[in-house]
Amino acid sequence: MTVAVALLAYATGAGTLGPRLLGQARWTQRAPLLGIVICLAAAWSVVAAAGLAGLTLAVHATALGSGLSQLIGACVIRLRDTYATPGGALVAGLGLALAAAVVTRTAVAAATHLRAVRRHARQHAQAVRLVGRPEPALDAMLVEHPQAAAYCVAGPDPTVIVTTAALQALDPGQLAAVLAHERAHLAWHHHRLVALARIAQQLLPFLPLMRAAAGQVARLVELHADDTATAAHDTRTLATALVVLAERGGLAPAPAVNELVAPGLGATGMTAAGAEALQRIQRMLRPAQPLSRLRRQLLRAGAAGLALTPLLLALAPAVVALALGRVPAA
Amino acid sequence: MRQFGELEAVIMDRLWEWGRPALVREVVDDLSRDRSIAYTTVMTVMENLHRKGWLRRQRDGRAWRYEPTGSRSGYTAALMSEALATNPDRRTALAHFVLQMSPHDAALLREALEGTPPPSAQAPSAQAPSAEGEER
Repeated sequence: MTVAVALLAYATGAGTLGPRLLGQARWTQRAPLLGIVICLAAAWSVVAAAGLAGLTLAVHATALGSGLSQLIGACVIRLRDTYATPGGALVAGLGLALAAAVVTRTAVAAATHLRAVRRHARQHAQAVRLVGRPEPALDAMLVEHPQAAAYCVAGPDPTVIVTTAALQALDPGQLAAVLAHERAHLAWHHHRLVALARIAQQLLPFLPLMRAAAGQVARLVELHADDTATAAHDTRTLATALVVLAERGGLAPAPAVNELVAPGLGATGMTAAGAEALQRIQRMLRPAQPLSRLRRQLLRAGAAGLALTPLLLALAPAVVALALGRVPAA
Repeated sequence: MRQFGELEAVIMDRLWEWGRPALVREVVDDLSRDRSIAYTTVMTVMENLHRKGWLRRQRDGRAWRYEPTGSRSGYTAALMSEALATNPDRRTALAHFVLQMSPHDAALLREALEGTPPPSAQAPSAQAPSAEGEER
């Protein structure tokens, strides 16, 4: 019982307080990939904690309880005590139901989500092949359209798509930098990372952590693609390309800049998409120092810690019982 | 599969260009001018396109006449409106370089770009945003 309570307390605590920590973590933009790993570790550790809480409730009432203790040579009574459940079979049944629900829900949500995304990707890529034309020099599909856009479709047939308006708006260097950004998404399978976060969000939609993690992962894959692109291309070129595409991305012709920007008006009043793009530009124009080796190691350890916490919580009493059970007359 | 996809694109291209219902035989004859291609291959691909909703067909004697269900520009517009949709659920499979945004937002981005001189004109370390040293 104690174990199950500890696990559920962890799930609730991390699920509600986690977003605050994630939101304040400014280091993520200096190490986007590490940020993604932490987000995913946090989100999935909460799912695992919920599942293991059910399992530990169930373990007491089953034969596994005594079997397990014999197996590890621990005192049955002591092991039973630590996993003990008032209410016996009923609570154990509920625990088993909880564990089963977490497992099946995860499997169903993952399968549904992945299938929907893959079908959508295949249909979109096929439609692009039919209405667009291949541009071998760019290794991309060109689609005739007045809105400037560049994007990629992952999935069975990974494709980079550029509209004719984007081709006209960007100079060759800018275009190459944008294509490098899109190829980084495909090469690093960013869609899988985004999907992992979104599946966790579908599993426990009421936990603020899940929403925050999904949002952060979506934001951080862009930063990571920027970093990958600017390893081989000029940062200012990529930043300029971003502004050009933002200006020409709408259907309406971009009005003169001066009419729109009131003097002294800062980043306030921007939409979320605008604010995110602004952060990317500022980050490219004024690159921060990379994280120190020590910080990186600590963060990696943190990610591993998050991932392992549910398992450690679940196993701690068994380990303790094992240790104590071997001490004679303890 | 990849070659089938390419053939689909070529066939749609011809039919859009012609702008009239066409027999499989006509498409085969046209394609045969620059490649050797079997009648059954073209027929299969056109039946696939019909099944997927890209072509509609009408009986003409013992054969079918096929024509695109929509114009190329119509399909392109639908495709792009899907690709540029702001609802993230409709484009989970797509990764955009930059999302669509208001002219106001774009103007602020331009201002940020123009307002930041190239690195050579500033002391980079002194200009680094102060927040970046913060712990999480």
